[in-house]
Amino acid sequence: MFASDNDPFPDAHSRRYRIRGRFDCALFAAFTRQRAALLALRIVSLRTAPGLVEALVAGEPALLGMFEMACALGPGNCIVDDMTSEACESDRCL
Amino acid sequence: MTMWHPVALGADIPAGTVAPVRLHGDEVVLWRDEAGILHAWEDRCPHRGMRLSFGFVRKGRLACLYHGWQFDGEGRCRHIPAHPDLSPPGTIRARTWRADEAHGFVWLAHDGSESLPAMKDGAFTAARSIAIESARGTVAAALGIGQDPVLSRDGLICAVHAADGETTMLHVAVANPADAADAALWAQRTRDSIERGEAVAWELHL
Repeated sequence: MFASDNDPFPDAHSRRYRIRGRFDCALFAAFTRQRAALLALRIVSLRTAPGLVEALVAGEPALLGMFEMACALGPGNCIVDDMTSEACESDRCL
Repeated sequence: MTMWHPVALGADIPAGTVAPVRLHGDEVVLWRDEAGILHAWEDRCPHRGMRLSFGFVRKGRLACLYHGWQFDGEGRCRHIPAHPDLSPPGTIRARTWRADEAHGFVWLAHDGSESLPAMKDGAFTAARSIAIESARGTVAAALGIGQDPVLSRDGLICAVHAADGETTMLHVAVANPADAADAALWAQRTRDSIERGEAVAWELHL
């Protein structure tokens, strides 16, 4: 959980997603940003490597679930081979 | 400058119904709530991209057929059936177009802030919308419409818009309700004439 007086998402949960597949990482990263914005989620961190996008995302749990499903499908011309999702219950995930 | 395009006959979208239209290749859903207010949005659910024109109207909202997400008249998502206790964030919303009605036609504008220009008063009865497999320029030239979106001639009110580069929609309304059936047939004859490259005959009653 993220919790501080200045936190705009005081009730937010966070999850780390590792998405592996055959895709343009920049394209997939842009997709994750767009989806997060649509779902009012906060991307805490986002990194890419060839065939990999890793995102730490915070927000309402139900919306995190929608984000996960969207990323599992991905945008057009992207194939997701594997995806893991883990809850991050403390700042150690940051 | 705001460009307004006639895209449908208002009578073809009764209260509580949904209809798709295309304008210059853009897919737009028209829907009218139970109070009679017309809405125009991008024909794409922000959730999974399903055409919202497959959806249905319930209690002032348009519901997507796929997962039932409900959007209010402003395009904002208000209910997600899979998460009934969730208050959807304001970021989830359909992309809206500006819509208005005049001369019996539905008009759309994508950009700009100017209102639909005032038009000559008169009540018009919708007759027929029909697709013509010709570019808008060809159809407009055949009808003598030019760059104006609407032509009034011999009791007929004709409007055209480009659905895409190859298909043009012709919308026909009439000043005299008794002419509506003949005007609908005229629209068919006109489509056939234009697609065959023949001159348009303006005689309404054969």
